[in-house]
Amino acid sequence: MVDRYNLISLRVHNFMGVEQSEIKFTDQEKNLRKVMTITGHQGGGKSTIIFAIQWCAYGTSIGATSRRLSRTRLYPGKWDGKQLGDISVTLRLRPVGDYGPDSDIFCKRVLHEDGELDSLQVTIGPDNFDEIESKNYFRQIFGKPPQIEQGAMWVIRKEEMQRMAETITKTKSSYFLDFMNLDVPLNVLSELKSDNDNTIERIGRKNWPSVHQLPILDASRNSLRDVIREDKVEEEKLIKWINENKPQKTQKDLQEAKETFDKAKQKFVDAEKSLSENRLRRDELVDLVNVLLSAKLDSSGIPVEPSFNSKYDWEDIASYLEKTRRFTPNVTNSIKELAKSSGYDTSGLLDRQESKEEWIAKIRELRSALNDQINSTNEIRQLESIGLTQENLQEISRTNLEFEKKTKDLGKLSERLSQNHEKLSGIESEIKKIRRSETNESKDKIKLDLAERQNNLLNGLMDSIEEANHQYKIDLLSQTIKRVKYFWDIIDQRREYVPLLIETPTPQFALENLSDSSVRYVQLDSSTGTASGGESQLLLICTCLAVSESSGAKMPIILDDCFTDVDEPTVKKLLSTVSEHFNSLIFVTNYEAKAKLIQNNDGVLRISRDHVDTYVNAKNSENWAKWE
Amino acid sequence: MTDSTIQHDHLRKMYSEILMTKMSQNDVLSQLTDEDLQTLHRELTKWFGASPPETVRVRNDLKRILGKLSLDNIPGVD
Repeated sequence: MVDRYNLISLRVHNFMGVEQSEIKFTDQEKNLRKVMTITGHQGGGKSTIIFAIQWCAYGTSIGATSRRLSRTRLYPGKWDGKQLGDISVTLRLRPVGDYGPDSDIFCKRVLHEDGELDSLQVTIGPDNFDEIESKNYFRQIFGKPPQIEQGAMWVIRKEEMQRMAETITKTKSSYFLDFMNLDVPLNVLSELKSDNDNTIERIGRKNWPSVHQLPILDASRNSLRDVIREDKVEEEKLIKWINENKPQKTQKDLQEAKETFDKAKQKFVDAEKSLSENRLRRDELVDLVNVLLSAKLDSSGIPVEPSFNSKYDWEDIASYLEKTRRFTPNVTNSIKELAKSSGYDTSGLLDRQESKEEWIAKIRELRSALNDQINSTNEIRQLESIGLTQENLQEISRTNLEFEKKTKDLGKLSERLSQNHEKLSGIESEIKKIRRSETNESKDKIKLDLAERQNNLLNGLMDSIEEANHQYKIDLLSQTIKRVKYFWDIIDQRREYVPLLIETPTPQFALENLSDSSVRYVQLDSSTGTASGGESQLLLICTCLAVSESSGAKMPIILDDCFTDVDEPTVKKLLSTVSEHFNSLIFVTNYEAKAKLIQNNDGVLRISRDHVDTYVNAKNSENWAKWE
Repeated sequence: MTDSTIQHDHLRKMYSEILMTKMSQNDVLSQLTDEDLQTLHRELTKWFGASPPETVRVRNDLKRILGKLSLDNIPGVD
């Protein structure tokens, strides 16, 4: 870890009155000049050198506040308000200690002709670093830009002394914290906490399905499963019944069969009725026989004689027929028998013509009725042969209707089952969703818990850092005050005053007269900001030195001659103390006498414009800045 | 070594001790194990006097360390 750096060289390009110049802070043997003086008359360019160093380090003005320099202030006057080329300052630094040229760090700040902001370039040996790393190196080496209540203290001029007079005793001053570098971790801790806050808020916004619904859904699911199970049993029963009772005949067939039955039955009844109405009566039998016999005789060509017109003439008829030999003996014998058995009246033979047609019609009717009776009986028997009877037709029809009903029931049941399955699926999906949510919720709870724990930890860390900062500031202020007194005791040669911290009404440094204990406050000139009186100036310089230690400044102390009222022995002691204590010192003064006050001076750099026309350039640079 | 360098070391040590004290006294951080507390302390103080660290690097380092700490005793969700 590097605590301090020595300045090896300063290279300036197009900066204020300098076109081109490189000032080397080593001697001819390339030995480091750790303690040196820059002197020269007013206007020679000493301030330009300090200005260039500070601009390279911070890009700011030399004023009391950190303010980026405008281009026009940096331009060489000859540019006449228009930038013509890059402006750059390069500081070559070497870590204090056992380091050689290979360890030299080149810190370059460039304001490009066409750029809005200046850029940083750091080179160490062969390594060129990018802008971000260069910026880090700049921060490490130079610290925060000096401004009110903070920054690194290594350039000590009246501006810094003025700032010290205003702010050193305030505990809010962060001069002391700069080189602890906890700003970034503190910000990061805050960012991490913010991330966790976002996580907590995001999780908190989630609307998880209530797990309280689970028992209700479980109950619904179980109940629905029971219903489905029962319905399935019912469905199986219905399917079995339907399969077993599948009708052989359709209802249409049955209807047709019934109609056939009804028609056949009606036909049978009608035939029966017709047969009944047309049946032969006993008294008609003789007439029928007469007609038939007459018809037979007539067809046989035998005329019916009037002699037949007697009641018992059958013997005569048979005898007559025997004679004709047209009938077989059986017929004639049978006719003879008629006379014996029935005694039919043959007189009707003669009337045959009149009743023949009637009998034909009657017989036809009888035949027709008989046919109808036979046909209808056959039809009924045919239906019976396929299992349809008058008796079971109704039963079959009833069964068919039940089949239809059960088929419809099955359809409804199947539909209900389908709906219930769908419903069950929905419930199970919801349950799964809740269970899954429960898992995710559980994971989120773990995340939430972790975020809460981390936030508590982060709060604890940030609080601890804040408290440590506060405590450190208090302790450092106390220690810095001791260091102010320490430097005062070494440097002050007059021994008339000692530093004193006045607590009220406003904490501030003052001086106590050793002889009469009177208090002398530090007075600043309202117009120049310079402390009046050598003691006041010395007190503020001692304060700057103490703060320089505490602020972690790593650059050589650049001590501008801002203590014009301090007596010479004290100035001499001041310069020797600073050079010994901080290892390196650049003392800048207008006065020739003061330039020779440093006992262990490694060289005096004289700045003079006597041999410089208007601008310092590569040709006249050596004349402008010359080592003595 | 210059006086100012010695002073820097002294100040670093001083701040480090103050920070450790404050961390140990913190109600939450005191619930950590000594080892975890020292890990955190070491992580914060490693930047003392160094180049100001890059935010991304610090963030990654701190996240990694926070992930390793045992937070069992740190209050979480009630």
